Amino acid sequence: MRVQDKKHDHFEFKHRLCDGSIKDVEVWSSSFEVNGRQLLHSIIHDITDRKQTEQELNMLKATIDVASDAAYWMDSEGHFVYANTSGCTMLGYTCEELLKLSVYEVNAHLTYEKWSSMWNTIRTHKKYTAESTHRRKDGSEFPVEIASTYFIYGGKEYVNGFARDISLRKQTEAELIKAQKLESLGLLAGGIAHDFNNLLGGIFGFIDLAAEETKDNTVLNYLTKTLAAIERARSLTGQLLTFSKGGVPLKKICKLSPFIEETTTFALSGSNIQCEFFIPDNLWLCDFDKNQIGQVIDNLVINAKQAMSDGGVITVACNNLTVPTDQHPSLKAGRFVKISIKDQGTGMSKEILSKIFDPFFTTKKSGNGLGLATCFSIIKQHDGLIEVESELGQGSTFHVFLPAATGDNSPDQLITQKSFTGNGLFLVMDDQEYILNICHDILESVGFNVVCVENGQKAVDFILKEMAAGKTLAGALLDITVPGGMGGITVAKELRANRCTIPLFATSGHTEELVIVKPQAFGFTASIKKPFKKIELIELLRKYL
Amino acid sequence: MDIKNDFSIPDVLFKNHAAVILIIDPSTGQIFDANPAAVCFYGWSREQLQKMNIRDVNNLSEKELFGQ
Repeated sequence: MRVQDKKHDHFEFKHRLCDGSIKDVEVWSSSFEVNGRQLLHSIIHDITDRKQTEQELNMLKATIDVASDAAYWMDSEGHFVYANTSGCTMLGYTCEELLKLSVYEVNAHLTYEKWSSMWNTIRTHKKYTAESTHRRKDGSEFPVEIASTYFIYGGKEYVNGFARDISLRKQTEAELIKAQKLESLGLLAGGIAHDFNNLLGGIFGFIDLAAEETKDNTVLNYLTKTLAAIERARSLTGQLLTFSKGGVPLKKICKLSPFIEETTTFALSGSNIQCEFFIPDNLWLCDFDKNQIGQVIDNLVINAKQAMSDGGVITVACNNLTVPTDQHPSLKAGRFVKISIKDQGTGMSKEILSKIFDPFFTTKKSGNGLGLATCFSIIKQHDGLIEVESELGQGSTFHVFLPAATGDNSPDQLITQKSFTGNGLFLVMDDQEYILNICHDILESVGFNVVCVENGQKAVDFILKEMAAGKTLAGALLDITVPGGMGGITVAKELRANRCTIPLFATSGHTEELVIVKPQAFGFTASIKKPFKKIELIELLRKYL
Repeated sequence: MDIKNDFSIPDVLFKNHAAVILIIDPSTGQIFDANPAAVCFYGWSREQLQKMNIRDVNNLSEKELFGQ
């Protein structure tokens, strides 16, 4: 033993006792010489309890040190006398630095005076819980939840405080509030858009009929211009409906080109911006709502244009993209068409970038903050993804990923006006008299005998009576929503239950309704959204009768 | 052997001390003597302890022990 070489030494050992138990011991040894013989005088001290306490303390300290919450001790002056590791890292200080500071130097809401009054409150109530804001060494601030307890230790007064960083919770709360705000706005917008659509339908139909009737070219010219204005109003209500409930897209399998080129060129007409397209001929077909995707392209191109006040080039590139499983954080595996719209504009700071898809967020004086929020909602409804890359002064690039169509469905044919003649009896059910009048006139003009009823019960009664008499109808157009009466869905259900096989068409101003998107699932032959033009109704009948 | 006779260690410092005391031969580790407090702590009699080596008590391995 080394103790031989020294006069005194001190060790810690584990000693085994007679009963087999093991004790922690501290051994103090001193060597002494008697008659030329070296001997060791050892005093053994049982330190088992002390060791255990030490270990418990170490564990406690480790627990506090690795805790994600900050733990502090402050004296009556607000000076930090202790801080755990989280307490220091959360604020960006070293422990040494933090212990030179006071609580009012890291709490954004506190001053020395306020601390004094707070100290008295804590002293009186012994406990104090609040939400507050802490300031890091770099000046940035973050929300915290504080729980403080007053206590006396060694005859001195202290406050022991825990602080939890609640940035994430606050962010989630803010998003929830935003979502609720968006939902109530959506309900309002959707409601107005629905009623407005019905009114537009009336105006639309009558002007359409008047334009056909008139022999006066000046009047025809005015009516055509009015129709164009109503067309714009219809697209506005369409946008409101899209935004209000995300709008279930009315998808059709189509080619994206030259649709993208046309939409982009139209959005840039009259500007000093040039546009370059890189769209391969073999671009996959996509299953999409032309109206909605048009809205997305329009929004992105207009944003790009506005970011380039001095002119420049906008590049629109499309690519086929196969995403393997688990390769992309937000995209499911599968085939996508990636549409990238790149501008040479001002670009965006990171702070702005994080908010651009938030509803009501805008950097434009006349913006409503709905453009990109609507884009986001549309692309989400298409099971796609919209992303952005941007740096201040470097321009921005928006990427839209649209799922490619599956199967070998051919692209939808463009509506072409072909002559159509109807015959037989056609029933129209709608609670709005002017809609009945318009449909009556349109259907009669192509040769039908038209029966108009204002609720579902009358429609069912009439058709069943005709069937009982051995007669049949050419078809029926049924309004889905009839306030206080039987709507189109129930009518279709009852008729189909009674083995009625005539073509049934659903119509609604609520264009996002599932029955409009999937009419067959409800016993309908097809659907048409309000407001519709004469040509659209005729085309529907031509296709299905 | 009787330590008291051989080395003249005062009884009061050894027998009556509340601290556990062992007298050990540092070259072999042999326990020469143990005081009553040591007998009480370890649980072996004085005679038993005097036949034991410190290695019988120490829970560290030989290597660890001599490394210290």
